[in-house]
Amino acid sequence: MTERILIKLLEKTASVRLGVVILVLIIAASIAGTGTAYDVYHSWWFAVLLGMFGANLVACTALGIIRGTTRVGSLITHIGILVVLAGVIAGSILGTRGILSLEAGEVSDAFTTDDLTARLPFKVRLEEFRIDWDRSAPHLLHVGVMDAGVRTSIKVEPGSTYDVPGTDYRIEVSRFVADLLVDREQGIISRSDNPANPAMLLLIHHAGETEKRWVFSAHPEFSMSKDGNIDIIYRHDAKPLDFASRVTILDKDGSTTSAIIKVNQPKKHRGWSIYQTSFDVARPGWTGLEVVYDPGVAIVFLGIALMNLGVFLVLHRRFSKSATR
Amino acid sequence: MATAALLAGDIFRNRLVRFFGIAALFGGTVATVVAIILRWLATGHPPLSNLHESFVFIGFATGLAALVVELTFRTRLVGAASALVAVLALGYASVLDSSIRPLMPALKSNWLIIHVTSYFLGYGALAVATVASALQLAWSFVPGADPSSLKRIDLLAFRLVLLAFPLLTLGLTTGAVWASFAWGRYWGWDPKETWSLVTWLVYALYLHLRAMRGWRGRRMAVVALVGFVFVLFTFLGVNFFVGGLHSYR
Repeated sequence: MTERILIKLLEKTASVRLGVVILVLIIAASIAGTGTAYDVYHSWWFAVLLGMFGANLVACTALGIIRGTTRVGSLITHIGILVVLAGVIAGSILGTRGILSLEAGEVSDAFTTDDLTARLPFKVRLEEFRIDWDRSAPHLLHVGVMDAGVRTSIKVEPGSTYDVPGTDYRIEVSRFVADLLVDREQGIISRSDNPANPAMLLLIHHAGETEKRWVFSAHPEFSMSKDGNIDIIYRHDAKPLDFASRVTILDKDGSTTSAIIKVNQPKKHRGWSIYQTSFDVARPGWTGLEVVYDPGVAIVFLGIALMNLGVFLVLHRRFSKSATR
Repeated sequence: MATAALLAGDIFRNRLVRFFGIAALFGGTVATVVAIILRWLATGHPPLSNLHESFVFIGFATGLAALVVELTFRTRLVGAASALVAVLALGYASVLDSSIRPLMPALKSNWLIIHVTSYFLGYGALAVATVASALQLAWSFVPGADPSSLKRIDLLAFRLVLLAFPLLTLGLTTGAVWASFAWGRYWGWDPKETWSLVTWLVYALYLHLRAMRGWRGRRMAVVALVGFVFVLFTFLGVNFFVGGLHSYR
């Protein structure tokens, strides 16, 4: 008797029609979430939708097993999805994450998460933070000459002189500063040779006169011009090729571990993972690391493996029989 | 060339012309592979990192899928129209910025190859499935259309989606694994992630409506077309309209 009620309940929950409706709602909500500031994905009703989706999937998987109607491939795929969802839930209940920000030489175990400070079970010392820049990025001058109606882009190199085509202007690139800083005593200096705040001193030759003009890639608005007829915007989009933190991990028992942490190369330590996430061009030597404790990740990966195995089994089955369905 | 010859072969039922069409399609696909390999050697990283390289790869994937369809299914028009789609993809690639720039840190990973390749091969198969579904839909309104060839093209579209779905699954899930290593989270509801999940769900819906509710014909073709709108938005729309971590141009 109870068995029949249970099966009846399973049938209701497992309904394909219900599954389709839930899927369509999840699709609609997910799309809506990419276009609004409102956090759809962490709202209670989105969690309810995912819960209903999970229940539908559990029911039709259970029913498939009881009746022996579900094929192995789709069974494994569905179980895989459920395992992924279980991993997500485990991670959100048991896991924690936050930002560990360090200056060179600093030791800390404190990380911030949602404005709260929490502590790691070990300390981390930042030995060095390094950025490798892409120095092959071109120096571009976007030049506009009002009276001649000319707009053009010129690729320039420090030390060379260029004619502005269609005008009698000549631009000489007299100096390049990679990381410009205005010092009260020394004037304009380069803080480092990293192209963090690139600037150029241009000599603009026109009608027998020469104007000195600084142009700044990161701050075009700072450029001051005497000759309003010629407008120059400088662009040097040098991006980091790589950035890495060299750290030492200090355990409570006194043991130490050295590691280099990069993007795509996190460090795992005592169940925690440490990721390279941020840098700040204005603060050389500072690093932003993300620390994550998530026991659900392994479960999610297992689910992912099952999903892939399942869909390939479905494909294999369909193509190996001469079905016309 | 392949499009013209396959079309002519279809229209005039001339085997020699059709053979020339297949040869042209094969030649074009092989030439694209050679171009991809040469670029890989020249840049030192897999050429899957910007829009130009992506369109070249998608052109290749579509050409490959068209070739397979032409050789196995011999459905009229589908191969020809798909070859045209491949040419359009390559043509669009040729007007995009093709300059070689170093790889940004997040892309420096072997996951790049499996994540992007499986997606683009899947997209190629789906492009051909979409061509088939569009032809099927258009044909179904032609009075006196042969029901057996309509059924055949319906089956072809279904098989292509079935082939593409594991590739989408692999692309989606390896993306999650990679994100876990690179960004410290396997899922972050980044717009690209969200749209690719949505696309995956739409094709999952396609397969379930067919298998569980017995959908065939026009209704199925419409779902396939809607699915590809999602593919296009995931691949391109997100970069241009929404942004996020995945906006590589």
